[in-house]
Order: sequence, then structure tokens, then C-alpha cells
Amino acid sequence: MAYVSLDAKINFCRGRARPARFLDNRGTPLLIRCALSLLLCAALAFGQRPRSQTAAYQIAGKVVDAQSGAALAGAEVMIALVSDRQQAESVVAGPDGAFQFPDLPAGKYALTATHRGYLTQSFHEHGGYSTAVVTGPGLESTGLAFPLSRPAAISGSVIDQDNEPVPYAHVFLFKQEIVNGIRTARPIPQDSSSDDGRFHVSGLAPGTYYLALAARPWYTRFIQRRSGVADTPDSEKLDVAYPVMFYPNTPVAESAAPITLQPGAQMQADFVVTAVPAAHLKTERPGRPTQTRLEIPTPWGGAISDGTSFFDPGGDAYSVAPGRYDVNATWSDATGTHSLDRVMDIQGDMTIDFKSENALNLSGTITGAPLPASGAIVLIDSATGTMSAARHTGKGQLSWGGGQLRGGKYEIGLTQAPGYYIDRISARGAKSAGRTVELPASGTVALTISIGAGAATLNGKVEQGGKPFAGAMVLLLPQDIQYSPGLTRRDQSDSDGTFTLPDIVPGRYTLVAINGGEELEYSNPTAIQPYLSHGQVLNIARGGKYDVTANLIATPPSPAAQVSSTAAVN
Amino acid sequence: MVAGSQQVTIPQINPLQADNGQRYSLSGTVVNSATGEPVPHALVQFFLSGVHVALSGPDGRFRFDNLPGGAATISAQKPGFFSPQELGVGQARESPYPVVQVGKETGDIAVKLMPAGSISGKVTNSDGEPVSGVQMRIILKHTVAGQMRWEDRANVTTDDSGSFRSSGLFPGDYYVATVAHGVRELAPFARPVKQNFDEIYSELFFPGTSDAASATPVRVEPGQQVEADFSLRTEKAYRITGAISGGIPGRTGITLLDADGNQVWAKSGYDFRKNEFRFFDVPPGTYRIIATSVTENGETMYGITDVGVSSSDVSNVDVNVMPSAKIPVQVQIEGPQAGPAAPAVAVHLAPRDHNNFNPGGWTQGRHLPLGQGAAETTISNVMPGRYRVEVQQVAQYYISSVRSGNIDLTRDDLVIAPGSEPAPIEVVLHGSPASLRGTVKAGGEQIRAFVLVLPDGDSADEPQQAFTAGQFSFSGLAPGSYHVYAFPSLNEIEYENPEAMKRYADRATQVTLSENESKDISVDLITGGS
Repeated sequence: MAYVSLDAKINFCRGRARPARFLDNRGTPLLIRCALSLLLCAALAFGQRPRSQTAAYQIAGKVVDAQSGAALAGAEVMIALVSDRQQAESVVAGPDGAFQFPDLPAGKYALTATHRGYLTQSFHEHGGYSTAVVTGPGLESTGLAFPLSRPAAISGSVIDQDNEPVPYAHVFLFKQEIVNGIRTARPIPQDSSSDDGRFHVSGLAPGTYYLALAARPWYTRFIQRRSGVADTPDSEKLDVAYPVMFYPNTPVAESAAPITLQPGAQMQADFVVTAVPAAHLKTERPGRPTQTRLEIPTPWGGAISDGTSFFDPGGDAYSVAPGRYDVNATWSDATGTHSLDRVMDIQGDMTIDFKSENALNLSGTITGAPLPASGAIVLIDSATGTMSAARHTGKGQLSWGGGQLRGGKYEIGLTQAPGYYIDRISARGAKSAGRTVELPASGTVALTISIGAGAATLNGKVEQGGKPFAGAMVLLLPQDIQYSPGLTRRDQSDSDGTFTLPDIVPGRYTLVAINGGEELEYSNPTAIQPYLSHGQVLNIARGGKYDVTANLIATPPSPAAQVSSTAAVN
Repeated sequence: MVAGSQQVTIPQINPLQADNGQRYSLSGTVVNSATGEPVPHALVQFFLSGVHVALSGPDGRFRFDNLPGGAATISAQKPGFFSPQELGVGQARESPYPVVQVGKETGDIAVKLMPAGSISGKVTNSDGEPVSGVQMRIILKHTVAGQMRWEDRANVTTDDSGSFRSSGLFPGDYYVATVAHGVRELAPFARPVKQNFDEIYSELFFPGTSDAASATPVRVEPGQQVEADFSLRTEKAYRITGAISGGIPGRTGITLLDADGNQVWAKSGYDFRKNEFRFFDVPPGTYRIIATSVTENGETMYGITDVGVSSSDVSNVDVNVMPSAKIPVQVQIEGPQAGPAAPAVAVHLAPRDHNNFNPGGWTQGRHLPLGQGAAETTISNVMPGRYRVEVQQVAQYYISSVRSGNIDLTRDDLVIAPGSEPAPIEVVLHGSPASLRGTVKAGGEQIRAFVLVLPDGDSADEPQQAFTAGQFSFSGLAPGSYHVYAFPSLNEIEYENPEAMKRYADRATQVTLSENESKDISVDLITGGS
């Protein structure tokens, strides 16, 4: 079951705003953080299940520690009807970790549990998907084992070369995850260290992380560069910067090491930063104000961009530790908004003259079905998964604001437009294949995007040896996954083996149901290849409704290929 | 405390001094004012023909060479310490910067930094388990602008081990409190199967009371780390549900206030389409629900409903949003008229309800130019509630009366009922004001002081205050009797509260003024408490 992450812990409805990932047209999880949308919050928050006279089923089980299997006394368990999440109720598990919801009507229920000192998790949660428990005649919905993991934490201290605590250092944490079938490092927003140079990051799910740290010597904030008053040579001694540091306490990005956190781990990561004479980057500004951003590329793919360390100094020069930076700038002149993205080795005193730089200028035209009012065309960065939405002028013309984009591979996507899909694309000024375009760093690119209407739906059941199989990863993979990974649809089979894949773009696909495939890079053609021969090839037609049975594939798959079949259309 | 990207600007004194070519040195030590120990790696800034900056060494020492002679200001700062200028905030208006004479005779100087204090602690439940995510309030009870206030100085949240820490605190007496927090960690909308109520950890004030009046403050001395642990208690809590009527869909907001007017941090849900609202985890008590709706043309509408919660959920609450009040203001002048350079008079509405929720602004008002002997305006978007009407005095007139219908607004508050059309505020100014001048003395010498002129009884005048280097002058006073006070500082002087001022009355100077009268008096400085 694709689930709506409730972020059900205490910050519900009033927590810190977190980024939402709306990827709904791609069959990927719709993660909604409530702080962003009171409306959704309310939609979830209303109503209670009316007690039915005919309710005769129950959901029961035991909450256990995922590692030790020990019962978790007093754990909280919540159920909500998948079709109507307003209908929710909760219980506290007994001393043996046992929980029971009696007198339930037949239906599909989403389960969530937590315990003090444990993560809040959905039932058999994997990468944003979980297994719903289905009640009804002949269905098994008791004797469930609900595993919960203890969160891990990382704490540390930051001191400088004089053993003085470094206050307000920015901590950057990235979690290695499979997002849309690609292994990537997702940034996890963090606060800065406290005034005594300590930081503490808690509530971390077990997994692999990367940690980096950016700081500025506190006293450099107070050194004024006022016009008319010459700084004395004293201030040059204080014109210093700290290099960005990577775990384990190294300024060398290539020496960064991943951190593997087991459930409940308490990691210590201390840093010693050494101030070095600052290098300066001055920007020659064209007519309109320029926004410049410095980023440090990391070996794991994420970038470190810190508003405190690399803040735009106005007309002044950036004061940073010497080294390689990704310089990203946006500026406007009479001919429009421009952007620039360049990796520079900043040493000594340097100047960028933006006037001499060409920028990428991207526009688009919509053909086929009109773009629904709620819909948005997005460019999805193939390397990072980040999206840039186009501005729609209302006459089928699209434009991307300067500065949003850099050269590289992007997939064109459509969001917030159920029933509609991107049929095909073509590009002038850039190479394109499938729904992917390769943008140059500069120049003018015009896209033509054809929109189709009438997405299809696939319902099905995962079986193993003729019996329903719960918790399998179900994937509907496009034939040209290399160029259209966004067409992939994913779900996790529920307790009765059923799954649903909505919003399918017409075309030729392979359906696979994999046991234990959560770490599989399924958008990587090489990684998914061994599974494809075990799957079912399906020709999905416009607006079609399909009902299929998928046979479970083990991880790794057996080399002997089964005969693939084509499903019958309803 | 060095915080954020705050920039400190050091005033330059004697900017243009004759440079006779002589060069001098200046050296000294940055000292922790609480311990007397040197402070290493502090930033020392020194202003003399330009900014000179240096970090103090490991021994706290600093040195500047090749300086011209003259007077200079010096400043030091370091995270975790208060600089001299931060210490000066709110004190008598003297320069907080140590001034140094640079020349032949300049000796070694000491620049003091005061270490900040901190409050930390651990929050556990009755089972001794740490409770994370609890919001902690660090509160200072003190007098601001003549009024006693409880002011949140810091807000921190407990971490996964139930610990909290609030650092960078100025020395003082702080109240520490927890904010009520749901016991259950999962989504609050899930009603427990076997219970018909929610459960919360009650709000607690250190050292463990739910009653603010019996709370004990913790004293934070410079550089001190104070511990304040909490053991939380649970209490039953309920839900308030209902609908907003009359609001504009998508442009309506809602909030819940407790009996003291503080916003209740209950979890809430609001359905924009149906205009339905729900508050979870609300403990028994009396509450006020305030809904606001902003029209297309920027007018704010308000709905206010009071709700009592005792031992069950409260449902079907209707909050009816109505257009906000528009209050006409009319000013008339009696007696002699001021000339063509007549000033403007300002009429303000100051909310009396302690209320964090007043989107129209804490004080609303209008300036009325007094050219023609009369003036009128309208104050719009006034939220229902209780207000004190303040008329800002001008030198040429005294305030003769301020009324709304039969209500004497110099004595009573203006109460605006929801959906009402209030009577005009009528201000009568009189052109024969009295004035008062004088000197402040201590031990026979003129001295710098803050002077307060407080009317006795039911005068229409607001308290007046001025800082004086020794001589003061007030004009635009209504005929009547006054008490005149002179204090070295107005910090902690609750002059808006007549009861609190009684302790100083016998040391104040009483004066009676009639129309057009001008008096000259001498006032003694009031030092020490009562």
C-alpha cells in the first residue's frame, strides 16, 4: 500500500515545516508533511468510525523490538481505514506488547505504531510504502508481529585550533536511500550547533549516512568593511575561514566516510577546524542585482550550501576557505534573467564578470491535451531527483526562471494532474530520448511537450505457490526505463496480497513482484535486468483498467527465466 | 552575547583630533567579570582614527601599536559573554563603552566581559522515562514601559533524552515552565478505543507546580549553569470541535486562547472547505476561540466564542465571524486656538486584554492634524475586546475630556462587542495648558535622572516621562494635581500601576497646576527601593 506519511508524532499540525515530495503522477509515495497543509491535516483529522452492528473482524498482534524481538509493553498502535483515513483509532499495547482492535468492519487498514524511545513506523514500512492489513471473510488479520526500530543519534563537538568551541556550525546530514529506483543521498535538514560548539542529531532511522560541517569563525562577522573607514592591517589577520569538514574529521572530501547507524546507536563525531587565510571571490554585477550561491560538491552527490558560511556579501567579496566551489549565479538584464553554473577553484582574490558568461535559456511549448489548471510540468534532475517547475503562461507556453537549472540530464514530468501524462517530448538545442533531455550549460533550448489524457489503472494480487503474499515490492517498469524512469509505478502488497498501481501512462511495461527488493536500484537497467525475465509484459492502453496476478520473485532471482505472458485486457 | 550576524557599531568620539605625529601603544587584558580570570580569544575592537581589531591571546592579553593619541572607545566580545554595550542596554543613557585616553600616560587597561548563564534540566514522566519534544519556557518577570510583564526570554525543546538547555542568559530570576504536551505520540485524531478522553502532561512551573503564582524563580548568576528538572504529571484532556460561520473560505484562521489570553498550543485541525475546526488535547478550563477572516479588500473580520471545558468534549461550537468595528474619532478644541503651526494629536487604542492575538496590531491609532479647531477620523479593523484609549498630548493643549457616549474614557476602558457599531470617541482639547519645569537634585547637586509626572485621581492625562541631564520641562498639562518622581533608572518602575507607585509617593514632589500656569520646582532623586 502506498501510504500517506502522517508524521504522526507530536509535531502533528504544528511542527517545523519540512519539504514535501509531491511525486504523485509517478506512482511514488506522496509524502505529506502536515505542517505544510492544514487542509490535508484537517482532512485526516476529522471523524470517527461509526460502530457497525455487523462488525465481526479484528486486527491483533504484538509490537516487538525489530532487533531483539522483545515485546514492547505500552506501545501505541493506531489503525486508519485506507479508504477514509479520518476513521482512526488507537490502543496502548499491554505488558506483553499485545494489541487488539476488536469489532472491525471488513476493510483495508493502515497500521502505525510507536513507543517512547522508538521510531514511529508504519507496518512493515519500506521506502515510503507499507503493508495494509485487510479484514474480511477468510482473511488472516491477527497474530501480527509489528517490529519497531530504536532511533539512532549522532552527537559531537566542534572546536578550533586553539581548543575554543566553534559556535553555530552548520551540520549537514545526508541519508543514503533508494529514491525512484536510484541510490541517492537525501539531505536531512539540521539545525546548527549550539553556542558551546556542540551538536546533537537524534531520531535517525537505521541506515547509512554522510556527515559534513560548515562553520565560520564567529569573530569574522564583526569585522566591518565600511567605506570611508580604512581597516587597519589588524583586520587582515582576522580575515580567515574554516574549510568545510567531512566525517571523520577531514577537510578532504574524497576522504569522507559513510556512517552506518544500527538501531539505537549513539554515534560520536567530533571535529577540529583550523582557520586558514580566506580566499576572496568578487562578483562584477550587471545592471540588476545578482544572486550568487556557493556550493561544495560532495563525493556522495549532495551539495553543501550554507547560508551562513557562503552568504551573499552584497557588493563585497565572498570570504571563504580556498578550494573548489560550485558557483551558481542568477542575474537580470534587458534581455531577461540569466544563470550561470561553474565549478571554480577559488584561491587568493578572484573576480567573476557575469557579463562575459552565457546562460542557459529554457522554454517549452505544450501540444496534445491542454495542461490542466492544477498541473505543473517539472524537470526532474536525473542525478538528484530534485524538481524544477515551469512557469505556465496559460497559452501552452512554458518557461523556467533563470538560475534554477544547470546543465545535465533531466526527465520531464507532470505533477498534480491525475489522469494526464506526458506522451512524448522533443527538444531543439539539446539531445532528448524518451522523456529525458540532456541540457547544455549554456545556450537556448526549446522543448515541445505532448500531453496525453486517460491514464490507466492496474489492480492485482501477488502470489507465491498460489497463496497471497504480503509485503512484496510491486513494480511496473517501462520498456525504456533508461530514458523514462518516471513512468515506473510502485506499490507494496497488502496482507491479502493485493496492490494498486494508479495513473499509468499508456505503453509497454514489465510487471514484477519482488520479495526483499527494498535495496534494489530498479531504475538502473543493469540492476533490474535479472528480474525482468521473470516478470509479465503488459501492454497498457489509454484509460485501461487491468486486473492481474503477479508471481513472487525472490532476491536474487533464479537464473532460469519463466515464460512471460501478456495480460488480458478487461 | 554574540549572536547571529549582529553587527556592533561603535560610536566614534572626538573624531578629528590633532595628530602631532606621536605614536603610542595600548595594551590590556580581557577579563571575566565574574571570576576575574583572563578571557582568551575574545575579539577586541578599538576605535581611534579607524577600527582596530585583534583577538586576545591565550592569556587574555591584547596590544595595539602605532596609535595616534586621543580618546577612544573600546569594546570586547565573545560568544557566551555579554559585551559592555550589551550590559548597558536599558540602563541610564550613558555611554556603555569604556573610554580610553591614548597617550604617554596610558597604562594597562582591563576590558570586562560578563559570562552568560544557562538553565538546563531533564524532563521525565511519572515512570521516570525521558519525555522528548516538550517545549520549555524561560520566563522573566519584569517591568517594561511601566508595566509588569511575564516575558518569554527563551523557548527550547527537550531532546531525545528529555534534556533541555537554554544558554546565553542575562543574570536574573527566571521562571521555568513546560508547555502542556500530549501523552500519546501518535496522531491525536485517533481516539483511543477504551477511553473517551485524551491525556496530556500538564503545564508545570518550576519547581513542580501548575500554578504560576506559587512558582519559584531560579536565580542565574553570571556564568552560572543552573539545573531545573521536571517530573511531569498527566491530566485528562478533551476536544473542542465546531464550525466557523460567516468566514471567507480560504481566508480564515483560528486560534485558542486560555483564560490569561495566552495562546494554547493544543494540536488542531482546520478544514478550509467546510470551515470546521478541531482542537485536541485541551485540559479543563475556560477558553476563548478567536477566528479571523480577511476580506478581499483587506478588512479583518472577527469571531469570538468563549468555551468552558470540564469533563467531556465540547462539540458543535459556533464561531460567528462578523465585520470588525469602525470607530469614529472626533477632536474638538476649546479655549484659545494654537496658530497655523498647530500640531497633530494622536489617538490610540491599546488592548487591555492580555492577548497575543491581535492581527490589527497591538495598538491602533490615528494622527489628526489640528488645523481647523476640530478634526475627525475613523479607526477601522478594531478587534472586539477591551481597550484603553490613549490620547497623546501636545504642548499647546491639554486634554479636557475623552468620552464615548456616557463612558469617561480617561477612567474606564472602551469595550467593543463583536459586530457592534461603537459610538464615536470624542476628545476635547483645551487651549490653556499648564506647564512645569524644574531641576532634579541629589545632595544639593543637579543630577541626571528619569522624571515622571503622574496625575493624581481622574485626570485625563497619561503619565509623562522624560530623561533629563538635571533640568526638565513638561508642557500641555491639564489643570490639576500631580506627583513628580525622579529615578536614576526606570527599570523595574511599574509606573502604569498606581498601587505600585504608592511606595514612592512620600518621596515624590506634589504640585497643583491651574490653567495657563507655569511652575518651577525642585525634585529630589528617589534612590533605593521602598
